[in-house]
Amino acid sequence: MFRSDHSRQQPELEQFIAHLIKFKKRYLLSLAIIILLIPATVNLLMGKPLLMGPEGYYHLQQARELSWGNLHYFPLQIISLLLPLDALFIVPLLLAVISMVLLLKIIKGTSLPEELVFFCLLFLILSPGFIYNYSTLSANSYFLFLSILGIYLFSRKNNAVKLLGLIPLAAASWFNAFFTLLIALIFSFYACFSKKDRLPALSIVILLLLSALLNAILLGQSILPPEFHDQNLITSLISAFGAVGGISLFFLLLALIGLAITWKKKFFSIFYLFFIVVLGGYLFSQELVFFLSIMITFFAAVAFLFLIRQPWQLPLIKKFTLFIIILGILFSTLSYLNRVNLNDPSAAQVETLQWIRENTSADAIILSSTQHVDYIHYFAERRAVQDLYKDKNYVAGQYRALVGALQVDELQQLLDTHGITILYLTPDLKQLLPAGQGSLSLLNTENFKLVHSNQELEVWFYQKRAVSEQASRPDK
Amino acid sequence: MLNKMSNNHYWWLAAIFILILTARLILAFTTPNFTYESYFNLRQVEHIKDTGFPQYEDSLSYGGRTLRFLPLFYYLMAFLALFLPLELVAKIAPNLLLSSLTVLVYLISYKITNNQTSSLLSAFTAGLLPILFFTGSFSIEALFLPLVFLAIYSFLRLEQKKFQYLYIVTFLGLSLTTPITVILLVGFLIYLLLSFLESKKLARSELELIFFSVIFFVWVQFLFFKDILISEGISFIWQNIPRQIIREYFPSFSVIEAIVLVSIIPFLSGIFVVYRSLFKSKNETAFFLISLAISTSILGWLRLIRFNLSLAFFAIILSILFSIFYGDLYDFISRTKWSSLRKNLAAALAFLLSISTIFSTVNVAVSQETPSEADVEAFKWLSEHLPEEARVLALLDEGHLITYYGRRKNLADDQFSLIKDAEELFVNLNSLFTTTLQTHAVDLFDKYGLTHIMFTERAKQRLGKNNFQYLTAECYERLYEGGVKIYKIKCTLKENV
Repeated sequence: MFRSDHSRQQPELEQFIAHLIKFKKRYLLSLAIIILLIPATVNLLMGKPLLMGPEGYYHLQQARELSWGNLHYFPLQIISLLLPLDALFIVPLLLAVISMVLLLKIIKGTSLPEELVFFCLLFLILSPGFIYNYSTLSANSYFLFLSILGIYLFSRKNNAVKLLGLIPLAAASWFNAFFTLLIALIFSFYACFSKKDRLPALSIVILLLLSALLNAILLGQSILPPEFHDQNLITSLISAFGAVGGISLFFLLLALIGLAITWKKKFFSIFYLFFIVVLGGYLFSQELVFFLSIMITFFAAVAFLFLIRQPWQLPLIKKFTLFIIILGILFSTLSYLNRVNLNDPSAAQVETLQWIRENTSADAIILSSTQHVDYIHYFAERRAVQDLYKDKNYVAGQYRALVGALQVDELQQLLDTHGITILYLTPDLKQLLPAGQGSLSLLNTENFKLVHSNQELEVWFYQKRAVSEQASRPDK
Repeated sequence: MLNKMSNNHYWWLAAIFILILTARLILAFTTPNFTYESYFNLRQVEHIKDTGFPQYEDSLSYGGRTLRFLPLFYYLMAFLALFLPLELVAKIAPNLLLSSLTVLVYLISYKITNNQTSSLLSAFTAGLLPILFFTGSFSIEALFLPLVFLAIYSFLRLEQKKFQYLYIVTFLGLSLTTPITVILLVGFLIYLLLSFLESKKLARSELELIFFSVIFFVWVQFLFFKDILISEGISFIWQNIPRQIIREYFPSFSVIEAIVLVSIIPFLSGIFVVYRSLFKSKNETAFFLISLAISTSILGWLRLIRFNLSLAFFAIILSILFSIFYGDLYDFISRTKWSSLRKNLAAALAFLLSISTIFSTVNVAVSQETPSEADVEAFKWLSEHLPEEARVLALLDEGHLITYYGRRKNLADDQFSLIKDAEELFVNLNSLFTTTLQTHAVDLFDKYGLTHIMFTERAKQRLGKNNFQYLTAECYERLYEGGVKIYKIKCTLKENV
C-alpha cells in the first residue's frame, strides 16, 4: 500500500524503520512506560497525589458505593482495598501495557501492514489523549482494556477460552450505551470478514445489544459517558487550545491528508465508518474525544507513511517537512506533559478536604466549584450543592445565583434554601466572583467564619440565620 | 533575473525605486514623530539592542505583563540600530523596505506578462499606492509585505533550484515575522481549490512546498504562541481585543474607502483582470494571484486580519494584475484604427496614474495620526520627574508613549493578548476620562494602583474637553505646566474601608 521504488533511495531510513518494526513491541512498550511515568514522577516530586483529574476520583467513589448498577467497578473496589491511593497510578499503566501487548497479538493475525500498526501505536502513545487516559483512572482506558481482552480471548481457537471472552465483553457493555455500540460494531465487522467465527461473532453482537437494552431499561444506564470537563466542540478537541487529553494539532493536520489519500480506497471503508460513528458521538459528548483521537491518530499514521514512501520532486523539502512533523509531534507531547501536572488535586486541596471530613458534620452540604465536586465526594466524603437536585439546569442556575449574589440577604437566603453550611473556596471559584463585590466580600459578615485555609484554599462555615425564608425549589 | 532586462528598463526601474524612496523619506522626515503603535515596536527593538533578547516579560505595560510576539522584525531592526540611531532606523528602514516593493512587483509582473513596460507600470502603481504611504509608521508590515511578495515571486519560479532555496528562506523569515503570513497559506488553499474546480493539475513541487509551508507555519506559531493558545483558546485570533474597539481594529469593508486607498485605476483594472482571468483566459499565474486576493479579502471580511493590512496586500496584488490589464489594453488598441496611439499608451497611463493617485497618497501621508511635539515632551518629562514605581493614566493609544518615552508603567495599551479582564480595563480607562464622580475615579485609581494622570493634547482633541472633570486641589497636584496636564493623585478611598 505504501511501497514505492523511491524508497530504495533511502536505505538508511528504510533500515531504521525496519529495525523499529522488528522490535516494535519492545520500543513501544518502553516508550509508553516512560511517558506514563513522567506525570506520576513529577507529581511525586511535587508532593501531589499521583492520580490526577476528577474522573479517577469519581471512579474510586463509584467503587466505594458498589451496587448492581455499577458492578463493573468490582475489580476497582478490590484493587482500591488492596493498594494505597498513591499506588493506584500503576493500574492505568498496567492497563496500557496489557492492552498494547494484546492488541499487537490480535493485529498479528490481520492484514494490516506492520509499519502502519507501528506508527499508529507510536502516535497514539505520543498523543495527549493517551497520556491523560492512562495516567489516571479513566473509563476509556478500562473500557478499551476490557474490549481488547474480550476480542483477544474470542479470537482464540479453544472454545472454552472463547466463552471466557464473554466476561470482559459483558463488563465493557456496562459503562454506557455508546461504548456497547462500539464493541457491537467491531464484532459486526469481525462477523462480516470471518468465515469460521461468523455465527459466534453475530451471537455476541446480539448479546451485546440485548445487554445494552437491559442495562438501559433495568439499570437506567446512560447513553453517553458522564462529563468531567467543559464541553466545547473546538476547545475540547485540540490539546493546544487547552483541551484535557485532546488531539495534537499535527495529528489533525496529518489526519486530513490521511483522509484525503484513503478516500477512495476500499480497504479503509471500515475505518471511515468507525470515524463517522465516533465523530457523531463526539458531537454529543466531548468526553469521547479519546476515541476520536484514536481514529485521528490512525489516519495521521497513514499520512505519515505516505509522506515517507512517496517520491518527492523536492527531496530537500521532504526531509525538512518530515523533520518538522516529527519535531511538532514531539513538541506537542512535551508541551502536554509540561502542563499535565497542573491538573488537580494538589496536596493542599487533599489536606483541606480531609480537614473538612474530620471537622464537619457528615450531612454538611458544601458550596464549591463544579470542577471540585468529585474530590469533595472522595476526600471530604460530603455532598456538594451540585448533588442536591437531579435537574442539571436548575443546579446550574442555582450555582450561578450563589456565585453571582451581590447582596448578603440574597446569598444567605440561597444558602439557607439549599442547606449549605460550608463554603470551600478554590482559586477558580474565587476568579468567578467579581473582585471587590459579590460573594467574596459578603463573607465579611457575622454569619460567616473562616475556619481553615491552606495556600489559596479557604473553608468558611456559614451559620444559618435565625429566621430563614425558604424559597420554592424542585424535588430533590 | 535583472540581466534579461534591457538597460533602459533597468534604469527606469531604478528611477521609480529612487523616486518612491525619496518621496517616502521626505514625507517620513517631515512627519513629526511616529504613529502611536510604532512606539511599542521601538521599545522592543531597543530592548533587543540592549539585552539581546525580546521583552517577553514587560514590567511597564499594564503595570507588568507577559507578552508573546514573533521576533524577526525586531532583531533585524536592532541589528541596523547598532550602526545608526534607533529613531533614524525607524524612519529609514520601513520606507526602504516598502519602496523595495516596486522591484518585487516589477519582477512578479514580468514573470506573468514577460513585458517590461507593463511591469514598469505595475511597479510605478505599487510605489504610489496610498494605502502604503503611512510613512511615519514603524511596523512589522514594512517587513512582512516585501517578504511575502518575495516568497510569491520565488514560488512562481520554483522550477529553478535557487528559487526553491529562496522560497524556504523567505518563508522561514515570514513565519518568524508575523502570524499574518496565514494570508499566503489561505491563498495557497484557495489556489488548490480553484485549480481543482478548473480540473488543472498542479505541479508536484508546488504541492510539496505548500504542504511544507503549512506544517512549518503551524509549528512556529505553536512554538511561540502556545501560552496564548492554551489560555485564550480559539479566540486568540482576535488577540483578546475588547469588543468595544474591535470595530476599530477590524472595521467593516467599505468600497469607497477601499477605492480611495487603493486608487481608482488599479482598482477598476484589477477587477477587470480578475473577471477575465477567472472566466475567460484562465491564466495559471493570475489564478494564483487572484487566490491571494480572495484570501486577503476573506480574512479581512471575517475580521481575522486588520483592514489596512488586508487592503495593502490586496492593492499590491491589483497593481501586479495591472500589468495584465496593460497588455490586454495594448493588444486591444493595436487591433483598432487608433493603433498608432499604443506608442504613447504607457506614458498616458503613467500620467493618469500619477494624477489619480498622488493626491490621496500625499493626503494619507500628511494625515497620519502621530503625537504632537508637546505631548512627546510631556511623556519624556515623566522619565525624569516621576518615581520609578509610578503608574500613569493616559489614553489607550498613548500607552506605549508612557512606556517608551516615560519609562513608567501604563494602565493599558493596545497589546491585549494575555491580559485578564481587558474589556473591563478598557471600560474603566475610558470612564476615568469621562466620569464627573471623584469617588468613582479614586476607586479606580486604588484598584489599578494609579499614581499619576495625564491629559494630553490628543485627549483634548478626541474627547472635546480641556481636562478631567473631577479635579480638586486637595486630591490632585499639578506637576507639569503647559498644554499637557500631568497630576499627582493624592487621595485614596482605602483608609475609609
